Amino acid sequence: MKKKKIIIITFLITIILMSVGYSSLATDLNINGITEIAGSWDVKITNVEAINVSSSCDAGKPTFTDTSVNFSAKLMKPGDEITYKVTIKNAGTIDAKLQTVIFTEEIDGILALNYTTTQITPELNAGEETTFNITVTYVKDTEEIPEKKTKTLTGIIEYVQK
Amino acid sequence: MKNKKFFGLFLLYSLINIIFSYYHYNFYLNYLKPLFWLIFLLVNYKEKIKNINTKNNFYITIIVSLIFVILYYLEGFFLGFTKSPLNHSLLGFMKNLIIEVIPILGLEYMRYKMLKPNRHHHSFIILFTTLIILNEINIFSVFAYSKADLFKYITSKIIPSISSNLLFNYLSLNSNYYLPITIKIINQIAILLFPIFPYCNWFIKGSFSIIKTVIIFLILKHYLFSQKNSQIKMHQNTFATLTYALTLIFSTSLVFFMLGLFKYEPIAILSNSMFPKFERGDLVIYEKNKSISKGSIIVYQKDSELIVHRVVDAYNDIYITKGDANNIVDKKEVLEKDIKGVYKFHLKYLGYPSIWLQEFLNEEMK
Repeated sequence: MKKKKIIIITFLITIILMSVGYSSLATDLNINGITEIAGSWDVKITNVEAINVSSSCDAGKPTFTDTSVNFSAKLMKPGDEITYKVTIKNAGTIDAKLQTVIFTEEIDGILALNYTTTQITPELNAGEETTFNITVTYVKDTEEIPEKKTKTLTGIIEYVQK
Repeated sequence: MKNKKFFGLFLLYSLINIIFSYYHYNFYLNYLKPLFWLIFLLVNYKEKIKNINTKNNFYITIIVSLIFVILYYLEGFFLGFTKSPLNHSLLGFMKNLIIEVIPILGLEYMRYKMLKPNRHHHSFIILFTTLIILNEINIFSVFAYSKADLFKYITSKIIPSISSNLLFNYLSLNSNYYLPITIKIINQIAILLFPIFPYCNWFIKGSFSIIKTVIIFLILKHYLFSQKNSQIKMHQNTFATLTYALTLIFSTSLVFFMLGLFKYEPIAILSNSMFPKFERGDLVIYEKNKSISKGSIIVYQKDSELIVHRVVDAYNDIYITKGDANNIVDKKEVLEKDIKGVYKFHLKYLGYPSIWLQEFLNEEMK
């Protein structure tokens, strides 16, 4: 009977403390890696930053999740470009290989703005980190002068176990 | 202490685990650890277990194992599921299976051989369990954590490890090693086979791990280990089960409430901007998906911050808000998509535990 009381009280205190902690701390979704297996899977995008911005252009505030990046690049004149550097880290213990790379641009009908990417590392072993660049360019010799000069892009980058 | 040889082997395993946590951890997990346990089993496994009522125990074991898997995947109904990144080719599956299953077989057999003969030596059981837990968590990494990260780590890693090991200790002491092995292996096979994983955060991981453990414990206690000798004992068992069940219902409801699954959700008030309506330390309960009008007190989110202020103007699905105690309206307009809900009522002082913990953990305010 005493043992049962101790178990119930400990259980309740633990749940209440966790609940209070949850309400206190930031609740941004965070996959803690898959730890139900001996190793842990923790491959994710850790940073996106604009590293080369032509004058008067606006790189906006790129956002990212574990497997996706999103940014809006505002360019002013032909020849302008903005380059974003994306960092991916394998902080787990399982080696990974690249499975999915999909870039989706907002349907805007603007031909004067396009984008290119450097190669994304096909294999990312445990503990390694890699980067790749995405460059949005306002085509130099274009005659098109779009009203809206912003290119919005979403990239999905997924790794799986090697 | 009995079976000192096994304890010596376990200490050796712990030492290897600590060393390789720093160097070539990948190699250790994929090759050295399964090899260690394989050699351990080949050398030491020499016995047969006589089971009473084996067929009945077998069915209950399988059912409990499946319930364990279902409870794990139920976590995904809160935040969704994510694609499994594991290798699902036959070779990849077999490799993952060998890496996972051999240590399970070895460790659970070791646990049984250590705990059963030493069942009356409580301090030894505590020591042995502590060592198992320390092996499962990377204790040295926690020294680099902030207080907030350490709290999350304890909730998502240490508490699940403690609760699952307590459960498997209970099974080893009251039965044999078949039960924990079956539960663990069926769970692992499901994880390795299924194309999806529950998408969960540290709070769901921690809270569900102990809720899951208590549910499994109750089922096994009732069907496998219950005393059916007398009417008094049956009455006591029923009362005990009822107490546990009520505790579970309360705990699960609290977790669901914190996760925002109900119509109402709580938020602790950090400032006095809405004084005298409510003030710092109060707990506001707000209702989701409610219509908003001028004068409503709304909860909205701007730049990762939750704010509870009154609507003073509204046009074209844009709201202008202001704290009752503030002289000017809020700088940023509130859009429909920013709104979390509408104030329903508040509870005095109940927000303080959350505020105190947040200040202790030194996190930025929500």
